[in-house]
Amino acid sequence: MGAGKFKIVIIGAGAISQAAHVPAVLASPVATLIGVVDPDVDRARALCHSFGVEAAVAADVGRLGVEFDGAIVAAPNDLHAPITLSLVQKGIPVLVEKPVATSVDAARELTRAADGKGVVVAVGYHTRFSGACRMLKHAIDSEQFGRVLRFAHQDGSRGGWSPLSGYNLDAKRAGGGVLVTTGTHFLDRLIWFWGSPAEVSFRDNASGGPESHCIARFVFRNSDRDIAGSAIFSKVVALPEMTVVETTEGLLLMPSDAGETITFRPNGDRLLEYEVRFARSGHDPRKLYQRELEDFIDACRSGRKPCVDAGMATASLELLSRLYEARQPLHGSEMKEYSDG
Amino acid sequence: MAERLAIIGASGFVGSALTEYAADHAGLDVMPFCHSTGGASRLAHRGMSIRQLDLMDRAAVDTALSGVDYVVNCSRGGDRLMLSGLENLLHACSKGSVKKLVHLSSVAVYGDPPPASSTNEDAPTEPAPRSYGATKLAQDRLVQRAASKGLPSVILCPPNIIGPYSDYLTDIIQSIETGRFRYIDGGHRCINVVDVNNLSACMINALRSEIIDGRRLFACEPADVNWLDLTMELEPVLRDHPAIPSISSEMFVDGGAAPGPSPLRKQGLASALKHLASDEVRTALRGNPMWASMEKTAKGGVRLMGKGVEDRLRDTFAGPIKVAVARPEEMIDRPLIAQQLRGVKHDPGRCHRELGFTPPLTFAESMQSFRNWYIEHFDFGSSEWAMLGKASR
Repeated sequence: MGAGKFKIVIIGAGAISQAAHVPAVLASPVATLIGVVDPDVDRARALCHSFGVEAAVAADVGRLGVEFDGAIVAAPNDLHAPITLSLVQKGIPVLVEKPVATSVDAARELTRAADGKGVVVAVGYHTRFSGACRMLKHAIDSEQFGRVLRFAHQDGSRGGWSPLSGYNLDAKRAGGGVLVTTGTHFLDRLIWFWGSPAEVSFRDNASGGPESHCIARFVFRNSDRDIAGSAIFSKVVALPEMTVVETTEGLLLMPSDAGETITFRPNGDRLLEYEVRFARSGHDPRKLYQRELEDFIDACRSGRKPCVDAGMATASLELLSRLYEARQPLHGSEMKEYSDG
Repeated sequence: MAERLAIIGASGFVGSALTEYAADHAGLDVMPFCHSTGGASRLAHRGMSIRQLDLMDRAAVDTALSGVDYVVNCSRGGDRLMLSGLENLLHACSKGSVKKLVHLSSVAVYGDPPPASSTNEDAPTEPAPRSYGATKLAQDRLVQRAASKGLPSVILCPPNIIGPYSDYLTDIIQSIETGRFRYIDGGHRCINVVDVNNLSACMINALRSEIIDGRRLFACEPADVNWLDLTMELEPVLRDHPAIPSISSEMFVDGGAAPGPSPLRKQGLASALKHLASDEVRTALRGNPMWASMEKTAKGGVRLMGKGVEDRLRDTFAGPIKVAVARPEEMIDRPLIAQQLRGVKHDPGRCHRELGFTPPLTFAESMQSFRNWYIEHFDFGSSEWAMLGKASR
């Protein structure tokens, strides 16, 4: 791997590549896009054309005919693990979209392969790179704004992400429902903040398909105290994104996990609010996907671990799996039985 | 084999409820169509097979509706989709074997506020130009034209829609909890609502009715309900909130007449020169080196005439210093509160008589079902629910 630009191939020419990965590669001074792979070659070609990019296109990596330094896997969820595994076995570093797999077993197999081969596998939890998330992590660890007592999170919209293949409506292909598509970033952050929870419970509205609304509860057992909290994720109810962490000194608020600031409201003063910024990312003009990409490239070049590697992504998948195992039905939207009017 | 019902716009609030209702109660082979998968999660969680359809693609619409017996159109979108897309839908319905089209319109076709005469469907339709009501009226006319050419059709006009998943009710809750809601005249003015499941049942009745002439029918709750009734029904799921103040309709209208377009200024040479000499225009023009140089020369010339002349010229062009009155703005939800000015009860009697339709749920039952849904889906009463409420204020 030379010191020149890092040669990237994107696998999957769908909506997330169009919206995030191609712009990230093009914006990065250290990366260059040299190939796009998609079973629909016309779609791959159209993607390149829409950005005015001259890149090789092919239906699979083997037919691409170019040498590259690493790949971004942005295919439907059920293809993340098999595609990534095949690249890892060839020694090719991968930045794979989350979730890393649709089963814990597949994620573990991938982690073993990556570790065994010494190949970088970074997983696309891009919100880890936001100033807001980093500041919240710092605030929790440093106890600068008090000791954490409990937390609450919500994130809901009527509808949302529409992948071109529509795999999001198929629980098997997506690996689940809204807990995977929306909640997985939050689960990753919980583990980052406090490790694996001691207790979980979970209610959702799944009834033959992927859940579109769910409520998860967690208890984290620290040495001196428990931290409990819950999260609501929805694709059917508009719930403005918000993370609230209650501490001994007040409330820490993170209105967006992709933002650059958090707010602290001290106890006992309704008029006071502090806006808190993570100094090191406060003036970083790069979008989160570019930061994620450059973290991946730096990991490939330096030999260090990426911000979120396959092992960490497996931990969040394990938590996801625990929640699904604890599944209880969410009631409240059934109609009473009656005959037609 | 069961008859086939195509629901267009099945991923929306009404479309989803209708799809679920029809699948459970109508005895029809239900085919939900939506524009994209992003909004279809509510149906997907039941494992229903959802088809994507772009109404702007006439050939695709023709193919999708081939062999369909009934069509309900709940689609929404921009004007182009709502009109050209509907034309494609009507074309496919007319060309195929469709036995009945039910088109979802809105009471907004009568205008906002609606005329006092709109207690029944024969009232004049007077929506504001380019409003949502105007687009819905244009749609009604397309449907009625298709009906006159032989497509059996019914148009249903719902008001605001309540029941589980109702954004309308969750918006009212939020407005009350944040202290932005006001009653007008004590909350005693009537409100027109319909439960989404009653509306679904009404649409199924309309499909099976004898009516084919594209007539418009109100799909509203028959009970007399006012704003006080509605908010009292929401009270059990409200967080602690300030008491809801009441204001008179006159005070609301006086205090909030939306600022209209600024009266046209008297045009003339003086005003044109003033505009040209304004700081905004000069700043923009300074980007041009020639203009910047001319301005510099002119400024130098004026300065030579002495400070008194310079000051008088500045006052002439800029006029006296103006200070706007600043007062704390009362944060209220004007559009929501303004709905109380509508004050006309749309009578669903014709829908009852001509469709033989009686709503399965009473208003109280509808609100109970909303509360049940809300309590479960918002984790009502938990300490986290309280924290999130505290954070949002």
